[in-house]
Amino acid sequence: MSLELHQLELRWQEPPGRLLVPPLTCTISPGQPVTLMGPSGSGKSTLLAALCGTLPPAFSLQGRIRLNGRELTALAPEARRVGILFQDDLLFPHLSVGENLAFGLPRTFRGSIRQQKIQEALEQLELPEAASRDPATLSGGQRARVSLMRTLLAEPEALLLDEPFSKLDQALRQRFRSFVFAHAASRKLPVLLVTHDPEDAQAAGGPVIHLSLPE
Amino acid sequence: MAAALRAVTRWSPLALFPGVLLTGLVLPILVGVLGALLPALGYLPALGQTTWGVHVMAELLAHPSVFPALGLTLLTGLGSTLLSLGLALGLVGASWRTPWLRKLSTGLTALLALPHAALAFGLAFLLAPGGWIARMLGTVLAWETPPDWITIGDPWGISLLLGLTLKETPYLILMTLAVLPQVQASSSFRVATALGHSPQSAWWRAVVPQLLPRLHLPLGAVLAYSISNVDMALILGPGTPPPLAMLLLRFLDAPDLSQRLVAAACGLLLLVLTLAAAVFLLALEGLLLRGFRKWMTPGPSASPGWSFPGASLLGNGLVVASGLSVLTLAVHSVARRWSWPHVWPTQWSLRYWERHLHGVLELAGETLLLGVAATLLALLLSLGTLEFLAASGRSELSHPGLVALYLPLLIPQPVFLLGIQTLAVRWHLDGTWGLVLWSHLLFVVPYLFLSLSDAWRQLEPRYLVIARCLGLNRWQVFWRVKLPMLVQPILIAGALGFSVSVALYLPTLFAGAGRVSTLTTEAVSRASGADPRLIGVYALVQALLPLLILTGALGGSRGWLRHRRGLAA
Repeated sequence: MSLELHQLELRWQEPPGRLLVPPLTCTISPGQPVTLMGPSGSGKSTLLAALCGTLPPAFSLQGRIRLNGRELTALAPEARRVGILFQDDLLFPHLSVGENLAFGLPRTFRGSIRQQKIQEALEQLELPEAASRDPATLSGGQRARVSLMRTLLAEPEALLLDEPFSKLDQALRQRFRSFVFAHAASRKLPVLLVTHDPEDAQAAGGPVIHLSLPE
Repeated sequence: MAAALRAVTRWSPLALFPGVLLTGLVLPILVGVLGALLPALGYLPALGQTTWGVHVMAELLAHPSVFPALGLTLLTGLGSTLLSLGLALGLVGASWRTPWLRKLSTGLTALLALPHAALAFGLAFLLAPGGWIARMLGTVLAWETPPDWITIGDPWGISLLLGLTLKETPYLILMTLAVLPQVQASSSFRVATALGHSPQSAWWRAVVPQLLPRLHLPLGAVLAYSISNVDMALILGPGTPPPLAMLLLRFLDAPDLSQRLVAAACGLLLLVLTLAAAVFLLALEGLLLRGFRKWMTPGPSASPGWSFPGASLLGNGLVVASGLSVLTLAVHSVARRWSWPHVWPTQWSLRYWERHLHGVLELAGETLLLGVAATLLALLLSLGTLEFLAASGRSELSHPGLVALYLPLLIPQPVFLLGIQTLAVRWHLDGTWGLVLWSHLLFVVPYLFLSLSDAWRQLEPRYLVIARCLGLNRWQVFWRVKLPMLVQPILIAGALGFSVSVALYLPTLFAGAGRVSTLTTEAVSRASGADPRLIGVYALVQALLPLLILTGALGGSRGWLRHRRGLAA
């Protein structure tokens, strides 16, 4: 169980070949979150987009990405089984809390089992009554947790974190951070964290990769 | 808008602009509706009718054509609205993240500028038994005579439905593109695909449900036009029975003046029908988004799901079909002999151009003058109102304000125009240039304002803060920062406003009372029975006029932006 990057590099299409992220090789194992740090514009979020398969057309990618032995590079985003959490919770405003959770839950869970999975998730979130609530009525911390749970219910094999703690206040940030890492660890997910905050890196506890600004 | 008026502290000269907008454009619509409703209920003192009651409605409903006309109107109006919406959403969904759509959008803007009548004439020429489609098939399949298919004016209104769809789909595509950023479509899409949904599934389940509520007003405008249009119906629709709006015109043209009351009753029926169709669409949406919402969360599936077949083909098809329609107008205008099954005329002639050039150019001049005047006035009103909103700390109209602005597009044209005409006759204003100009403003202002307010909303507000901090006052910021930064959207909005004016048929007809005519009224009046070559001349000039203005606007803004790459959208 691991996410492996092998000689992964990102270049701009315009001007052709300009290097954004120099070749990167690392293996991310469960329980050993890797943290990616660097100034704005160093390509951290673009690297995550490359791993998700949503690299903007302005960039090109070389190298290999393997997840549990599967080659991801050529796969569509939806086939990669890579979960991602953004700075904003991005709960769908047109769906209720329960429907947001169901959105990524695989189709193999049907009928009452489906309901049961969602109810279990709500209970883990300590929001047992919230299934039919509008996500807009939740607090920021609750929304962040629902967002993580939605990602986990899709049964990803790796978790990418794109500064998901940066918009939360200090107290909330600590709680949500341990919530995320605990859940990732219990599911044995390799985690790649992008952050500006050294405290995040410390909490992650794994190796830190520093990206510098491209020349 | 009333709330907006209150918000400004003490007097602000800018309040004049929304004030004029409100009292000059919105209020008369309501008066016009009232002016049509009263005769429908039996009250028209000018004709000595003062008996209130439903007897006029009863007379209308007893007319043998009414119920067939009702069904036909519902089928073409609702059918083309739903079809355009489906096509627009499918096309945008299949292509919004590709560079292809950006390329297509210039073509779509051109389609938007194309007058309804010119497109309808072109489409009629294309579909007719002796038209290009039949000739091409005839050449390939060696048909000896033109086919005996009934395309134009078919009793089910299929060609009318197609024509309306062809005209409305580009508008709905552009409106959908305009609301995409408001619903953060990109992040919804990214989240949905990261959760395992295919691109199609992500579009329909995560993005479309957020889009639909924001498309209510444009969709309402499409519905009202499709249900109540007269110009396209005259060209493409069946005559016996005709759609409801055409039936209304027949009552109005009847020598017996008391038929005016029946015409008003017909207007009331049209209004009720439009409302009922709108309620039906809302109920359908409610069913999809609230009643049976399980379809949104069945979970991602491994298969790519059904995809929209040949979206790019269809999108290009829209542009190509409309382009061919304009081209066939040109070919018809210079055809002398055109024997079956040749794809091109066998003998060419400029005779019709020589004979009618003078008259056509004179009409084109009148149309141009009217359109330019309406566009400039509408620009002034819209820019003033937008500045007023900015000064009172808002970037856009409140929802009631927006609905008020949309009102002329949401209420079937024949209804309020009938009421306005009654009043105009009473005040001896009918047939004056001023009244025609004003009736054009009713339609040019909403389109122009809505297209400008998008640009206003998207302008980064911090530029204005910086300019103020650099010592410019509000007025200077408007002239030296906003206007120069927004030259491109202003020029394009102006060109579209102009095209709206050129395309207007019924308002020109009602307000002009035969004394003020434009290319459109002249072309449409030739719809039945006139020589196709003559129609070709009129309709081609009608199509080219707004396209020329649009080309000028695009070219002008490109020239302006050549050394300002940061401003080019």
